[in-house]
Amino acid sequence: MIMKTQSKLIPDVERDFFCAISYRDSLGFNKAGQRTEIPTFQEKTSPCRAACPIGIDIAEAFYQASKGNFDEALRVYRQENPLPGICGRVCYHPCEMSCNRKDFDEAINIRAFERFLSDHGRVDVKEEASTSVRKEKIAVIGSGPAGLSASYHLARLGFVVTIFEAQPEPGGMLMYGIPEYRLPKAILKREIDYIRQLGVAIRTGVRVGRDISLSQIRNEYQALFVAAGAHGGVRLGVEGDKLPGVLEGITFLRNVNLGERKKVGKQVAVIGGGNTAIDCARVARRLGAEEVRIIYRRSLAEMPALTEDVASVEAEGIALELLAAPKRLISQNERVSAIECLRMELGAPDATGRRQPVPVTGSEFIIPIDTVIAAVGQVPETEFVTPLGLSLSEKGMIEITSERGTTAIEGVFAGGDSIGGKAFVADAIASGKMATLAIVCFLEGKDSERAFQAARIGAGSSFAFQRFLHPADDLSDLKQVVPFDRINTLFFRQSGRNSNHNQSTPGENVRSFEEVAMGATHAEMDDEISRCFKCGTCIDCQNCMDFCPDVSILRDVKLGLYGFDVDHCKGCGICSVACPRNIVEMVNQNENVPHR
Amino acid sequence: MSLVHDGSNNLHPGHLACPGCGEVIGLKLVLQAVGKKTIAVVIPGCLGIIIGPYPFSTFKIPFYHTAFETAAATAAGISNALSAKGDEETTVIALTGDGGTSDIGFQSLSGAADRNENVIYCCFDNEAYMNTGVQVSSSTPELAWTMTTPVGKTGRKKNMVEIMAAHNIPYAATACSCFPDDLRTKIMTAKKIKGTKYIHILSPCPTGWRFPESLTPNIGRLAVETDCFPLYEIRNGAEVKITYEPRHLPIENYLLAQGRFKHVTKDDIAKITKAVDRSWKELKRRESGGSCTC
Amino acid sequence: MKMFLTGNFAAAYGARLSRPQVIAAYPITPQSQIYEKLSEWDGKGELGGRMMRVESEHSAMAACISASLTGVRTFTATSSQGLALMHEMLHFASGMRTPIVMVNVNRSLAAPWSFWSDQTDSLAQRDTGWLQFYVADNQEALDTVIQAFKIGESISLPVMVIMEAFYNSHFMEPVDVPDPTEVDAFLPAFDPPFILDPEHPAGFCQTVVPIEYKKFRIKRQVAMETAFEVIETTDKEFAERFGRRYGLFEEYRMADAETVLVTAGTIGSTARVTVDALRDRGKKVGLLRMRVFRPFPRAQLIAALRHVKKIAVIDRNISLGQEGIFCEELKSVLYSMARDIRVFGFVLGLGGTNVAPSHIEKVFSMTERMEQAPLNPIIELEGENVFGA
Repeated sequence: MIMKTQSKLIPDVERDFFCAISYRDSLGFNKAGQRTEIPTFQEKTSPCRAACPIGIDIAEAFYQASKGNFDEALRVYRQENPLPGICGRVCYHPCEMSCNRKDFDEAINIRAFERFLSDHGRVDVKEEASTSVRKEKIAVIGSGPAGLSASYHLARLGFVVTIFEAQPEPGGMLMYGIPEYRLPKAILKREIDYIRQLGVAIRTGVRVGRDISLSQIRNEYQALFVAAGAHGGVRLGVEGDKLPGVLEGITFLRNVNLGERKKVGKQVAVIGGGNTAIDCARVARRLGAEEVRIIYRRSLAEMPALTEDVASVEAEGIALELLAAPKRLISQNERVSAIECLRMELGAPDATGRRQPVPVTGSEFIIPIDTVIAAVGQVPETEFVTPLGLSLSEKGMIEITSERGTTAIEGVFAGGDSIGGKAFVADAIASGKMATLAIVCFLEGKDSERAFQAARIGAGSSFAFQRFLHPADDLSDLKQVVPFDRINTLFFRQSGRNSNHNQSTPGENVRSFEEVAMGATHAEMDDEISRCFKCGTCIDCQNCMDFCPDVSILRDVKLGLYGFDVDHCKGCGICSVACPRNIVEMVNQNENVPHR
Repeated sequence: MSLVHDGSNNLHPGHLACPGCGEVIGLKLVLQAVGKKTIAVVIPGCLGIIIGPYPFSTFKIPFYHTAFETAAATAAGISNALSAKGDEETTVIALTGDGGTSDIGFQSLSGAADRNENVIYCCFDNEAYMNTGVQVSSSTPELAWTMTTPVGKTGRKKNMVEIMAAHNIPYAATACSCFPDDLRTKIMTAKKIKGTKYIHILSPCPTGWRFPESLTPNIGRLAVETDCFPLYEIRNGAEVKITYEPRHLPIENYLLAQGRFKHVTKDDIAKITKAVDRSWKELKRRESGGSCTC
Repeated sequence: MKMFLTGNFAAAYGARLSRPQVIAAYPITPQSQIYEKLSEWDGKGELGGRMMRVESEHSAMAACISASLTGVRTFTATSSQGLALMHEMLHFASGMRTPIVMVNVNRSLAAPWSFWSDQTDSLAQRDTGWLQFYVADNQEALDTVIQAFKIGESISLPVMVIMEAFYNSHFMEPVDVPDPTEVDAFLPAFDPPFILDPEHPAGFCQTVVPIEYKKFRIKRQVAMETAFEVIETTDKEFAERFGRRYGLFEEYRMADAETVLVTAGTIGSTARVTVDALRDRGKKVGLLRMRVFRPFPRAQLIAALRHVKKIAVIDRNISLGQEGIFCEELKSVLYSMARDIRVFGFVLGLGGTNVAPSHIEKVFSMTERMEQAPLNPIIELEGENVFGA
């Protein structure tokens, strides 16, 4: 028998082979029995998002920006926050304080990022507008950040919204509290305009309780959100606090923001430690005061004002008199002429956890001044709610019956500075969002507590509005926050943070009310964007695919999701280590985790 | 939802590598970069098992599993046969380990390089004879534990890439399976060059280096970031180009993460740090043009 | 065309005419001139294909195997130490069914060092699954190389063509070098069934389980057994085209022989002359010169020797601790079917020592005289003292 040669055929039957030649593949070798763990692909929440009162998907925005999609990144911000231009300038940035990058080198300049997006990204209001119109009419009292935020989100859902604003201009504290050099009013006007373009009507110069009653509004509107803010000043409460030359801080700033440029004295003392006090001092400098000092009863560490604003105080030649409080005001020629202060020391913590200042006996000292500005607190002017039956707290705050902003009266909700709590812009915006959720649930007969929990971020008080609206859209786990020890820093290089620069020197700054801080340049922003870990958000780095030894990572190109070949994965866990941002994690093989 | 495998892979799942194997990561990346118009040569070692048992092949390209010491000669035979047939397009790639390259296969490799045979020669260096149970090779680093150097190896690691560069081959390079883009780029560079191309790929081995199998990516990154294994290219025996700027992390981060080095002392670490620093400075000097081409 | 060639050059011509596309070789005395001649032609562009001037014989065989698996005809040549170094790869070549043709010039294996003829080097490779042809002169060398390609490619096994150091390799004889077009007509292009090909990817030579290994090995045995038919057909075709025929072994004056001398290689030529002389003296003696050693032509040898009373085997080799290898293998074959024939094993010519007609006459006379064949191989002729002066 002569073995006939065949030319280059693939034999059907392997008995024709005369040496070991394999045409079959190895896909039939199942590895499931070998492993004890299996990977899961689950996007999670970044700590910045968890810390943000507004619950902005910051990591997603950074991811979009990293691809050059700045408009999309801005859109991500505006899904939760209608005022990025404001927050990008004045927010107290809790996001940066919990940024994972701070444990590697320095926190990302997230506030500058928000500002950059609002400065350079394009807003398409048509995209934000609702496709359907709801029949219900909602009334909002107050056009500060809480009221604006609620109106924006309600309008996006198709509700007809009317804001009642007592002042001639909308904006609340944004307009009347924060000076121009920190927040140019043009920016505020632009962002309010976007809200108006959504169909929100703002009736300025209408004071509820004087020009219209709350009951009237209650009859005409299906739901009501009270966000009147806290614009009442607090007296110093010492002898001489009614003397001429003693100004109240909130009123002082309001007048300046209304355009007044009256000169203040040469030697000004500002009492207080919050941003209002800082702003009063910096405004005083701009109005020609030569000697300006801030007198604060606790130490620097306890000052509520933001660190960078405290730094600008020193840069602009304002003195800080810490651990001191006024005892009495001294007058001469029927005008305040000096302030007698007492030294303080820190005692036991009070209800808020901050150490109480305790006067040091016999430590009086006198400072000659010609103007005193009291910035020691803000209270709401909320008498107008009592006819409706809403109760007020001792300090005049509207009492809410749940964390959702509900009050004792069905259909009436309250939020922002008028209910107390944290007095920051971001928190006010967050309470406006919360009110929207509560109002929608109220009108649709849904359980707002359940709705909140479903969209809740981490274990805090913020929630994702997008998740509330479209529960099935985004598949990331809002409850799991990425800790730093789950970031694989071997895939990143250390570098310094790009901080904001100032337009000019402090000496020049105090000569005008022009904006002091500059926005980041494109290069600086690109650098920050690349520094951002994008915790918990998949950026298609494909480390999982590159590092999987078992060729067991699957991909859905259209949806941008990754999965695992459960027949061939050996459960080594490399994918969970190679994923630098904690999206891939190993779970026990037998756990009933829905695999994709 | 449609979850599918990446079509650019030329390695099937279902192979027999240990879980966490750093070598098969490198193999996957190499096969991905080299493309389908390729014939591979494989020798005994971990790769000899990873290819699968007859009649199942884990490769999507043809391969021939030849005798241990013959990878280079075998690859050269294929390359010459293809030329004789008029085929200058198909790439021939040898996929070997450190044992089959720096020990038993050294002669064959040196001969092929001397003749500038047109093959890409990849050495997947897991720093010992791992497939047979962790025995020492000339590529095992100093002080490392193996089954045949239970108190730690006394000799140093043979510097294969420099030896190969001394043959004046057009392209020699180091790479690491935990730097995927760098490795793929080097394979694609090699594909475009005619002659002998040698790529030495550090492949962390959880089984033999004694570390948890999920940490392979970190070990590989640390090897490079601590300067213990610089990533660079040498063209025509002289032009040095460093392809990754490491962070110069302390070598303890790398050594003490592996059980095979758990017995090293502070003195050892100081000595190794000094040696590694010196090597890095020398490499930098050569890159900046300090080498003589006379 | 008639040329005056050494055995080495004749082998080189045989190779050249067969048009190998890859040659991988390494020099070793006494083979070097094969390599040099091929290199000379390669340098002039007359050879075609690619020559690999490798750095060892082991690499040479490795390269030939992989080149053959890529679908090209391959050739190499070596001797003693080189062949021994190739040992591992010889098994590989046979296992991978690559029809490589290799010329081996028999030379003594070290230690100690020696360059002259001894058949132990090739016989020590008899288990590797290669066909083995032992030639006696330069014409047979050239012709057998060409035949070897055809035979090997038909059954997909490698073939060794074996000649002797200096007695063949460096000895000039008139040789008829065939016409290339005639050889092309006789030997078609190499067309193997399975090759390394990206268009049809497959894994070659992985690990197999025991039953598969057994199957592949038995397939090779079967191929060896079918080789006889292929060898004879090829031989016949060769004779028709070129006028020369060799067979599995040479039978010389065997028809009525009572005693037959069995040998291989150049001793066969000397034995032919001696047989004539003995016949002139009325001795009923014949010669069987072994040519094909693997596969071992059992049935054919039994048929050829059935009628004989005594056989004297002359081995220019020895398997230490046993006896001459041709003798040992012949005896094992005769045991099954022709136990009554007495076989006398002589080991002469080790290390290339001369085997003259007088020695062979002594072999005959000793065989004639002895009733029973001794148990041990006969390593000294009567009156000879291997260690003496």
